[in-house]
Amino acid sequence: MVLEYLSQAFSIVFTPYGFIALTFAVFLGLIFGMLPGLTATMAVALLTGLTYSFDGPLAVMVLLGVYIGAISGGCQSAILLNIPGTPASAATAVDGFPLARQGKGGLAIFVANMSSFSGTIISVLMLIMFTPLLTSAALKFNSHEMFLLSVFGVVICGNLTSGGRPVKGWIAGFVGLLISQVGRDTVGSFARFTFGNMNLTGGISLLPVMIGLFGFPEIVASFSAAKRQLVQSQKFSAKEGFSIYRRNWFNVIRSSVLGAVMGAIPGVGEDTGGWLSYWAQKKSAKNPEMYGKGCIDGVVSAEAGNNAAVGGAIIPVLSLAIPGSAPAAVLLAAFWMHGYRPGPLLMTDTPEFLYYVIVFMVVSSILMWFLASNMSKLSVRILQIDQRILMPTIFISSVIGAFVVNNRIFDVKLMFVFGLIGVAMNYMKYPSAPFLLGVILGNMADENLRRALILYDGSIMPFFTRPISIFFIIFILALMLPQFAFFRKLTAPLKQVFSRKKNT
Amino acid sequence: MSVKKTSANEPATQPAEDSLGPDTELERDVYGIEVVDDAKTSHQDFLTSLILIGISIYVIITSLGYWQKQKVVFYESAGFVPILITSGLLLMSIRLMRQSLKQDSVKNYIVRIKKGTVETIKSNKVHRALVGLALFWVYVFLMLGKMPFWLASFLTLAAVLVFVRFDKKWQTSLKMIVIAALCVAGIVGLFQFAFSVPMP
Repeated sequence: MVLEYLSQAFSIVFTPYGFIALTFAVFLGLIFGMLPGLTATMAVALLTGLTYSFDGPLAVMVLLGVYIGAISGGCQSAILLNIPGTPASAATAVDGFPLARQGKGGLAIFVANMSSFSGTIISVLMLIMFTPLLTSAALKFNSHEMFLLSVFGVVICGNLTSGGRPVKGWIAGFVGLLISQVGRDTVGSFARFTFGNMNLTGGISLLPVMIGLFGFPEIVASFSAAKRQLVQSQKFSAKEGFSIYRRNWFNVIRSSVLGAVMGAIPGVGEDTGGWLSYWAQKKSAKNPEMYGKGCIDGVVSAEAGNNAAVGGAIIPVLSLAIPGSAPAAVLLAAFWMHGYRPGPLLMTDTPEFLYYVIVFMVVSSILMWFLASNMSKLSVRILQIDQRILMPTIFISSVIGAFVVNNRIFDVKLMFVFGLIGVAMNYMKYPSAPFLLGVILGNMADENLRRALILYDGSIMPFFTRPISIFFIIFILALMLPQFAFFRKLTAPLKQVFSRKKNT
Repeated sequence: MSVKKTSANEPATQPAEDSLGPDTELERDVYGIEVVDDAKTSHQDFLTSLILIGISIYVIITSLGYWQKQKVVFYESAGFVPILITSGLLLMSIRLMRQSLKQDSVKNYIVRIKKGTVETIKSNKVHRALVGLALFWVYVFLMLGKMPFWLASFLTLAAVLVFVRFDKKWQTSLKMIVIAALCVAGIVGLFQFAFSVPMP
């Protein structure tokens, strides 16, 4: 059966139309990733609308290609401009740009591309291993667990993306949850917060929210963008690149595993994958003082980590229908749009889908490596495009992307409104990822909580008697309680005991 | 193009300057997220907590109304989950307000917010962003659906490009108008004709 699914997937990729579409998608992704301000989320969101008329598998393949291309493409501007093309490449710039200034930009890009490729492939291996496992575990989830899972997703995402202010991350997540309550509820079809507007009765579409939230702030920022200073890509020896890569084999594996794990945590994603891998590499290095001054091992870890997060982020999408990152959230919406139902029943309803995703990701990463390694001259030209001209043009394309899902101008207006919210959140330092995750998980939380209570006549006891529920409750409390002063006071004596023991 | 290149072995003398960067110089936590400076954002936190408390109270009252209308058990009503969510939101907003009030007094916050608003209004960057946003607002709310997509898009794009690259030279304006026309032609050509995507 598996072989049959794999051959079906290859037959989709290797039709002339399919292969051209995938190559174009990866190329477009690389360009999106390369250009500062155009993020992977924006690329996938935009293409989701524009590939709406494609066949399901073809559209999924194109979107995965764009996703992988965009995350990898970010390294070029991070190295040559010191401006990460996507937030995921921010860690790459720390050592990449000093390398470019030392005349090793070409070598850094070559090694970064190889690391990106390895990261994606290792994360695909983890996807193969963990998706069926997690899917079969998720079959044991009932309404109680599904509700707690969505709360857990919002809470952990709020914790990890808030820059040390979890309350702000949770607020963003809860506002997202609240936004998702607009429209008819899934239990009694009662219209909530529609203000008499017929367009709101069906709820708020995900795509306008995503494009607005993640694209608009960048477009607005481009109005006041200044000139960039570019360090040209330089010639290098591929042999030296391969030897650096061989020397870093353990770094690649560790960074990829860390990146994939970070990617699998709901809403956290590629940026954290890159940074955490970079941090782990620096901590374990013999020469940590060299990091930040042009250490190529840092570039390897950051790129392997952020690309591995792509596969990691898709694991919870496929097994739990919960996105691991913002671009994965858009992918999830795209899967739904094309009739796929990721989640616990994926392996029973559409088992071929997992193998399609695997094949599409592997071929995309090979194409990414080939294209990215051969477009250094082109990338220098692309990086010279004036952002002030490009971004307004992107806005026009975003309008089409928001419109095309329901063919409603109303969705374009929604995109504008959520864009303004995104700008305000950016300005006030509220993370957007928990907000988006809240919008995605809100209905799941609502439906499952009420169903759980109805089934048990309003009793909340099953939440505290079911093992998986208890596990989630402990995790949620462990994330939330340390933020409160009363808990810190309570645990202070314990901490003192532990620190004394450590000292002795 | 106005981009300065440096040759292969000649190191750049200054770091790149851009409104988006240099991103890597920000203080970050172990997850790579920019560390939020409490003192700098506390007046904003105070303001947002006030707004969120207001929204939470409104949602709770409205949701209680849904429960009364439906005449079902509380946990079955459509307002149950919104009440739970906004109760959480209310608690967190109160906590955010308390945190911000530890940094400074209400009186000082009002002064800071007023001062910040005046500075923002005077800022050239904000002017540019506001004019750009206004042009997009006209496009989305007044032009789309009321005139052909290509025409609305061309007019808006031309206006935005002329505005963002405005240097009082008619040649630059003409160049921007030509770029706008080509971009709109490209977008419509690619999506409407090549991909058969319906246009607004």
